[in-house]
Amino acid sequence: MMAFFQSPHGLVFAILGAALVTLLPGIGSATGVGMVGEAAAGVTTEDPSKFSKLLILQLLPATQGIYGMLTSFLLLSQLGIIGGTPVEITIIKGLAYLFSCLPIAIVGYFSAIKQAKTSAAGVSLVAKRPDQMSKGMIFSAMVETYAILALLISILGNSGIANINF
Amino acid sequence: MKETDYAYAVARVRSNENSFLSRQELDSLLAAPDCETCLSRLSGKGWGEPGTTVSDEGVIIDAQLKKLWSFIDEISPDRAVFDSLRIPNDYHNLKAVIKAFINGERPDRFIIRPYTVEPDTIVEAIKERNYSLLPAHMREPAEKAFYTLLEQRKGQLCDIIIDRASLEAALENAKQYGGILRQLAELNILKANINSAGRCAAQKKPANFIEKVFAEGCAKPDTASLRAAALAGTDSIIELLHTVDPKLEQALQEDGIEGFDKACDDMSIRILSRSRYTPLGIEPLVAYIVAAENEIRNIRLILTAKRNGISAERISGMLRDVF
Repeated sequence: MMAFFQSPHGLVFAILGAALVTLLPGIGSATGVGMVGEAAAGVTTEDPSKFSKLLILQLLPATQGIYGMLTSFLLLSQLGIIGGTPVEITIIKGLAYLFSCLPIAIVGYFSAIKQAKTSAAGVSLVAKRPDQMSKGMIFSAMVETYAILALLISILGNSGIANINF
Repeated sequence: MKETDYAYAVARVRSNENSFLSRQELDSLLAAPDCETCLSRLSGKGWGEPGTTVSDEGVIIDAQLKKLWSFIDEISPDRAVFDSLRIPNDYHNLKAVIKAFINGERPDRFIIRPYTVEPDTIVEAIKERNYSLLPAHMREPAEKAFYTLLEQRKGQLCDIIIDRASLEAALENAKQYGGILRQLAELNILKANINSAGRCAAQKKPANFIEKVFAEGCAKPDTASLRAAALAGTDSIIELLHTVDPKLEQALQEDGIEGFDKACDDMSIRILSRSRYTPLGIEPLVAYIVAAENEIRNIRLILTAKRNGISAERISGMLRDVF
């Protein structure tokens, strides 16, 4: 059993981690940006002058996709897949990379959708009271906190794993 | 449908909520010297068809209703969701067509919007006695009501058959979507049943008549208790209402049926007010429809009062809150 975990095929799991960390927050952000975009289009139909204010609200749930891409980029660089020679790692190390990617992969997906709902509520706020737009942004940005925390853990975890000899 | 599918529709509704008439604007209409001044002020606010001068209150009200429902149809991802709000109009139109047919009149001026069944289809169904042209829920009541009025000449019973079927069909439709639509449909049944119970008790109607009156579907109070209360008298109805909501009981006891109706309307406004804080889903749309219809009702009241020289003070208390 131990021999299996120490076999040098861990790159597969690390790449799976990189794929998940790109996919899940990316899907969450695309869904969220689309949802806020629909709401923003509704307000713009009635009042086109609010376009620029609404665009900022629409962009807020896009960040999780960027965090996922960033984590994935750093991991792929670390593994030598981007700009170098792919390293050979054990299965246990590959699994460690995979688990380390999960915080931003999962939190990124759900927080993007939750943030989109808050942003859609912010769109309604702008529709009725355009002067209160900054408050709508703050409400939505609060959700971002948890995506940032998950991003930090994933990035710190990945760089820590690199220095461990499994 | 998911609540997020309504993001576009909710945003458009939120934008349009700003164009509701404020209390000050309603007060200024109340203070206007005559109906024509009101109509011209309403035209200035975008009421009626754009670019036309309106001199008839019926035209401006019809145009506003048409505008409301074409807006809802345009933005809503699924038109059928709001059928429970349109079904009562179908039954009103059915009643109008039956009565017009029996009296040898044209029903056009009695038809109201919005509807789910084309009035021409109702006319044809009644004319040809081909009830299969109507939706399934409407066939039996249409046949019964037509027979009751044509053969038995019982106008009140004809109204009861149609009104009861209308309430039950609206609730049945609302049950598919639940939430706010179901709550409103149940409240409508409660309001109509208590009103009917009050009338039956006042007119000392016999048990076989009372049996046909109440719409089914409202858990509290159930129809058996309502029948018993209507037979026993007004005090029993008030007592029965205590089990539903003490506020409604108090309103009926202190201000009679008018007070009870107002308490029911206030209750529906409370249900709708919660949707103010709902960011997505059908609730904001339903709240918008009800608020817009209440506004139209208020304007109709003001215009009718102005046309008939009724004082502003008398009307002011009758205006419903606009969400």
